[in-house]
Amino acid sequence: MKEEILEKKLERERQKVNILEKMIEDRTRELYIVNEYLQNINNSMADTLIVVNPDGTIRSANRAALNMLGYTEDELRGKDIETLFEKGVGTGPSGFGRQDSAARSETTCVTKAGRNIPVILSRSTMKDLDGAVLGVVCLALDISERKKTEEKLRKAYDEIKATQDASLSIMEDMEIQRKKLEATVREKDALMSQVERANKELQDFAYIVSHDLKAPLRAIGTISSWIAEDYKDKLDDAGREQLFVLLQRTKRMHDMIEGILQYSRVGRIKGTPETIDTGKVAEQVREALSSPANMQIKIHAPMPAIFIDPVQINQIIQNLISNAIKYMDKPEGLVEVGCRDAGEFWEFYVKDNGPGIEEKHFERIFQIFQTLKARDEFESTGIGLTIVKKIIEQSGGRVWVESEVGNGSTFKFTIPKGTTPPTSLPPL
Amino acid sequence: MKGIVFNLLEEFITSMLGEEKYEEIVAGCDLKTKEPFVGPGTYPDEDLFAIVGKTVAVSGIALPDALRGFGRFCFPRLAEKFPVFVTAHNHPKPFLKSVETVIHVEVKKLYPDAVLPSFTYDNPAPDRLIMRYSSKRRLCHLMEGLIDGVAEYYKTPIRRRQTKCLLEGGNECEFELSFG
Repeated sequence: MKEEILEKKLERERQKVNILEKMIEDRTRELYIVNEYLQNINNSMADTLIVVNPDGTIRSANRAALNMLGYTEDELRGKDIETLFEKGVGTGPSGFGRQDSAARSETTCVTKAGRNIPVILSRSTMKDLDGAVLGVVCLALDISERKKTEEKLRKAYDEIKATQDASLSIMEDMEIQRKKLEATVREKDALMSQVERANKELQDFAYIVSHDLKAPLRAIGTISSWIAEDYKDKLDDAGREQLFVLLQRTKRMHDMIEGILQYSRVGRIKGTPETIDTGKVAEQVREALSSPANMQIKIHAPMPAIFIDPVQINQIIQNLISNAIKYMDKPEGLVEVGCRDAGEFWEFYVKDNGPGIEEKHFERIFQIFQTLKARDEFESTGIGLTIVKKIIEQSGGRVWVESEVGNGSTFKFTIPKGTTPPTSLPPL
Repeated sequence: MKGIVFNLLEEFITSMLGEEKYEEIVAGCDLKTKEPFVGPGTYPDEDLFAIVGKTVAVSGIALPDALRGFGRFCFPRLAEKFPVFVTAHNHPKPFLKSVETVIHVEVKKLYPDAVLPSFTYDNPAPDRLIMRYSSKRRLCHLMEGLIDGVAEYYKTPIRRRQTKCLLEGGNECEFELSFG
């Protein structure tokens, strides 16, 4: 009976073994599947995962870790973790596995090829139920790109700072320059005031002197004419000739003084500007000059209306036309007056077919008392063009001459449109 | 019920009544399980109740006493098999409090299909513990035996007074435990 029970018990134990083997197989298979799943997760991770034994040697590493470090898993297994990471972060075999809590630090890992890679190392200790340390899980995040970006940002910051400093320096310099400029402007304004005052004084002086000279000169002229009249029988030919020269020179001096008076009036007396039809002015001048029969004065329409002192525009046109008539050397003289639109300016011209002017005299003819012929040969004060130039320049324009000896001259001058009303050219 | 309980029951009956009687008891039960019980396996509760019922009938021992005796028999053997759960403590009170929050959690990790009783606790004084047991198996006598086994293991007397019982129509069994 006992043997029978033992036999039964033995049979039951055999069956138990078979059942347990089957259970172990099933569990092993389950574990394998779970392990494979975990391995897949492990190797799919973008960050490096290294599991370290309590003694500081490496137990396993995922694919990202192998790729970053350049080792095979066999080369890495058993290696001291301290050799992979920079010292001073508590990864030594003596202290590494005993750290209780999770920690995170920035350090550098060294690849098999000896390259240093900056990483953020996160460590957490694995323990069993009894609290015994099983190992340490290390996650190393490659921060090379972040470091590069940080470096770029730092450089950019330095550059911005340098630029900012330079800008501040420039601004300081500019402030100094501005103050200097202000001082210069103040000095210039003061100088201009002085110059204007001096100019006015000079103009006033010229006017007063000229005006005061006219009275004694008039007396000289009057007395000379009286002598010439009263003593014409007592004077011989030489005496009469000299008295004639005296009268002639007295007249010339009178004309010159008159010229100076006119010239000084341009700056001293300011007329009231108004809208003037320049075509009409030219017509009036033509009539007033009563030119010789062999002279033809043509006025080319259209001529603009401009905003100017009527006396002054009259003086400009009259001086230029009368000069052309005065110096005409051709039997059939022709003077043409016209105007063209030159953008911001009106450009007027007075053209003649007279003797022309050598280029070397283009500037000189506008200087005061400058004549191209001796006064005894051709009576002229040499002040007409000077007055023209002064009026035009005061109006903001300019005057010049274009000429060729023997082929006449063209005097051109501009008047800014800014001072003219916005009207089209009126028909003549 | 896990196979380990069936194995411990076999060991308990054999030690008490002998192998021959155990074979007789098992042969006399119409068990649903035909193969031998192994520790990791899970078997119908009815099989356990059938064996226990037959043992009571054969031995003449009262069911509550049989279950208390079985609980007291089980504890040192379970402690030997799974020392990690008991060595973590040096007093029965923290151990008993860890049954629900630690031991059952670990059991579930290994055997997700295990059907476990549930415990709740009150802590009226440092040397006292109110422990409530709830299970459709209503094995409160087995729990009494296990508590006695705990007291013996930690060499700390535990006086227990049951204030509620599943077998008397309650929703749970409540034990007021005093230590020392």
